[in-house]
Amino acid sequence: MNDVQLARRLERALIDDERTHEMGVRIVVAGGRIVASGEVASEERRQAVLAVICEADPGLPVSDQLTLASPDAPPPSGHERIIPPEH
Amino acid sequence: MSASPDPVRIAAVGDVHMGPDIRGRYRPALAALPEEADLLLVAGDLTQHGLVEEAEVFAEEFSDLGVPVITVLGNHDYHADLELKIRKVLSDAGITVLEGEGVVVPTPAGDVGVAGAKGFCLGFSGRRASYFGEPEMKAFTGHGQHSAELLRKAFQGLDAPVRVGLTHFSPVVDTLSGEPPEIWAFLGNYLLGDAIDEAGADLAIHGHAHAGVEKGITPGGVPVRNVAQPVIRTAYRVYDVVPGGTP
Repeated sequence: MNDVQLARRLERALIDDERTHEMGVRIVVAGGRIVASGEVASEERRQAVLAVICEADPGLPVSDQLTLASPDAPPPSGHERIIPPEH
Repeated sequence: MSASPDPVRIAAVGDVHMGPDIRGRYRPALAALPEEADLLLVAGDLTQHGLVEEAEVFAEEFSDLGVPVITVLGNHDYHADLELKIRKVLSDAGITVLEGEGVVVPTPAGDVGVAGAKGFCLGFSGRRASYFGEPEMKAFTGHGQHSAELLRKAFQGLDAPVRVGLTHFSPVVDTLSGEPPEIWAFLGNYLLGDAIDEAGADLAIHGHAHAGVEKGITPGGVPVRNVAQPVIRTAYRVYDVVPGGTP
């Protein structure tokens, strides 16, 4: 299995695994390591992603470049005036 | 010169993917909603894994907000085959779930009609799935076509000065910009856009495309807004729509 095939396999595992179902995590395998990036909603979801990767391929080190969404949703920022089409 | 009519204030967000691990994240940000908007639309993917306990967390966060809350489900909400139970949890909490149905919400600026359907994949003109070949392909394509029929049905008889289409999947490609073009057929369905245009809607709201952009427009000129939370990066957006279509 080459690096690209491994990356695709790991991305598929993150989508399929019942613990994650994460579709926004990007996996790159390069230089003998696995790089995981993208945003997840919580520390629990980050740990689940890392667990699925490690179980699927325990042989390579994993570089965790995941980012966490803000723990608090920020307040809304203004209103947009919508101009509907003439019907 | 007569004053412009007051706009209907429509708040919207999608893809909040609630679960016990993020309980409490949204409710504080929703406290001011009654001052900001007349209703809140939530464009599907209310849960992460489609579990009832996640729907219960969504209901805790999004019920009794002081404005009507109207939702459609998303593909995540179907994953565990518990969509009917999820609907019941939400309905019991006073949250409206639409699938091929419309609802009219009275507001101080007039009635708002919301036509809702989850939608489905299919693709867009020139790069869409066809009802041809293997039964699996026909099932995939047929479901996409049926989803647009549900949206069309939802608009029928929906009598209100302002009418909005609410889906999870995108009705246009515009708001998919940023997503890989190879997966656009899995993110949206141009027949949804046709249904919105044929209905003469004033606004279309969707989610699903986390890497897309907020703003688009149907071929018929209806403004489309992708309110997936990773796109808008806020608790909700508010769209002020003037009844009658005159700015």
